[in-house]
Amino acid sequence: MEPAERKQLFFLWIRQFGAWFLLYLLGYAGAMWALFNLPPGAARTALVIAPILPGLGLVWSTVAAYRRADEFVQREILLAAAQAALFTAVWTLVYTFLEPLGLPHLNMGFVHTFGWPIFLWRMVQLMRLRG
Amino acid sequence: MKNILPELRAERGWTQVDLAGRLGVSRQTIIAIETGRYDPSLPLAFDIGELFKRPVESIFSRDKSSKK
Repeated sequence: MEPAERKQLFFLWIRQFGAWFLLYLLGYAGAMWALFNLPPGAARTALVIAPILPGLGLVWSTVAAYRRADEFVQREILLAAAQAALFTAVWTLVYTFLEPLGLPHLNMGFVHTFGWPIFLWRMVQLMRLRG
Repeated sequence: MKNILPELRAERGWTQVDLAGRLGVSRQTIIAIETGRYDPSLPLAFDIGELFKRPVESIFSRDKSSKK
């Protein structure tokens, strides 16, 4: 596979990830609106769970990028995923013991605010690798 | 592992992008191998040997300062 083609594949991942993330944000906004403005019912339930699909799309786009990558890039993607997962695990463990001491109760979704930025930061580092 | 990939590439006037294209890998992979950040798999090492028409062990050698 030509490097230009691989570069295109990398940007394909960025485009796919970005599109799913945009859909996720729209779904999240819709879910929050429905949660606080609609009466309980099928429409409210559908809107509240709507962000799940683009959330799965984020994961799918990353798995697809992994399958397209060569051996070094695959290793870096795995390392980035492991670092993000381990940081998330440590963060949730620490917060588990801080919450009873008075820190506010957080929704489980907050773990994503730490895991994904770490993963994306590592991917940007990989793209900017110079030698 | 250390290697003489930059020298072999320079002898032929190839850029990292050229070499990546000939090997079918990404530019990041070539950079990582040349800087010693990544040791290639055996299949990729043999591909490199075939490309430069040299035995693998004449391109890659053990880096005694490395812990590996």
